[in-house]
Amino acid sequence: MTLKITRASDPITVERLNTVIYGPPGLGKSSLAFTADTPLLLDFDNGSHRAANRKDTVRVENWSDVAGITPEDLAPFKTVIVDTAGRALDILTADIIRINPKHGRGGALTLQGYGELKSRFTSFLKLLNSFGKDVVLIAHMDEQRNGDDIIERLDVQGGSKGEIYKAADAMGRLVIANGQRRLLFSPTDAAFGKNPGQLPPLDVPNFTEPEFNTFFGSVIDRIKARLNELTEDQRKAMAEQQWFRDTLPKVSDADGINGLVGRAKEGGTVCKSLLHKRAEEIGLSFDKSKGEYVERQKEAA
Amino acid sequence: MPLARVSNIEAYRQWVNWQPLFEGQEEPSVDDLVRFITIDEPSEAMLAGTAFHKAMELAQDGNHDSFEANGYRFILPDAAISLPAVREMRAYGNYRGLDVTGQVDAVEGKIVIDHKTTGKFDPERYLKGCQWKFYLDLFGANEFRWNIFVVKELEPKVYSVSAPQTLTAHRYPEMHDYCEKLAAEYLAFARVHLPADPTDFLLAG
Repeated sequence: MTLKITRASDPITVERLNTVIYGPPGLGKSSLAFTADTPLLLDFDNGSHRAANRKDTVRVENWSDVAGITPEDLAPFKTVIVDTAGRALDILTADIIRINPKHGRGGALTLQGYGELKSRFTSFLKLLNSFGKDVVLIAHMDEQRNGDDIIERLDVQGGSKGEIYKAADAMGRLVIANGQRRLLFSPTDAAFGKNPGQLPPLDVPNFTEPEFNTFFGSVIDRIKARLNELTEDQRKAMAEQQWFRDTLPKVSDADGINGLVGRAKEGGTVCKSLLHKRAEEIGLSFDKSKGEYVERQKEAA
Repeated sequence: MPLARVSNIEAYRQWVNWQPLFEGQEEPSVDDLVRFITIDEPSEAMLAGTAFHKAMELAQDGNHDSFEANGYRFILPDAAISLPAVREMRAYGNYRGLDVTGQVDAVEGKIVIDHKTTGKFDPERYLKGCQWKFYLDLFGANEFRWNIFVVKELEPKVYSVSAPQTLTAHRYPEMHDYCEKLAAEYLAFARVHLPADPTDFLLAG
């Protein structure tokens, strides 16, 4: 057994996204997902017929229905909708136990079986991504009561819920208030969410409005655009931190340190901390009254 | 200026939102929280976690069969993990009159990385917490990444370690306001319930 430790690698451009939509039953999660770009819905839950704007759909009864999916099968589509992710995991669980009964006990997975579930579910999503598809995972919402408070979370059985939290690049919940449906990505004390797109609460257009037809596709595009801006930020921040790591060991006096204060401030908390650490190493401390680093004994005098 | 660790604000948040793990579990009192914040009483699991963090902090690039630190031994899994060079970094920030400080395991660019050891992988526990929100805010970062290691005690001070599971969270528009509000609540609690010298006791624990 070996843990291989490597240095972090360069950030990559985001081309494919795994998004989770969750919400109470009957609010139109599948209909919303169908407004993604050229979607194919994998109907694990046998409920797609209720969607107002139903498009191409494959009903999935067994995992073998999707296990052999090929790039050619998905060529006409840009988005794959897994409806629902919880039911997909249930069907995958059944398949794992069917193949190896020792991986199940009383219908639930053993620890080894659960490892298999994680591995196969993650591989399935990566396979879809490798075909160049965005993936939308739909989940029902569960309300967990805590006294007077209600916490909204994914309604997925057992440990497999963790796989969805891990797989999700973005996670939004569909809610309704005063007849208006809204899609909320930010987490709150009472609800889970992932909002890498920094999106405000989004009003979902009515089914009859033309903007509805492409609504979720545009949401995915906005999230990708924002993530790619952040990728560029990440590249710049990594480069600047590396510059400080390379440069600071060569700085050995107060003038050298003070000359870098402005750049470190621009570089953010990490660069400031690296600078401060180096200053302390060479016997300097920050004199607030002078606004600069000085040798420790001079400060005391 | 009063100073608080992010971990103490999280302890306060958990205390306010306490839920029983099993029927009949007794709800922690104010005294229980004050004791947790002001007295350093690490459990065995926390000591093992600290030792694992120490090993990860010092780990060099390359292949490792096991880690040893603080008298603990960790049998490592077949897995790969990338770790940035900047490790164990502390940051400070001010939230409505409360100075808040926190130390993260690693930072790379605008990604903050935290290693967690646990007996059971429970992503909701991490996502619900306030720590990632404060850390992203304090470090001006965009993404928080947990490397979660499920550990199992094989014999005293010897643990097997599972392959890391990665969970991410991201900065969001309302995040800073959330931190300010929670910090203000914590400060109000601290002024009433924590001992008089806030610098000494808000930092402890």
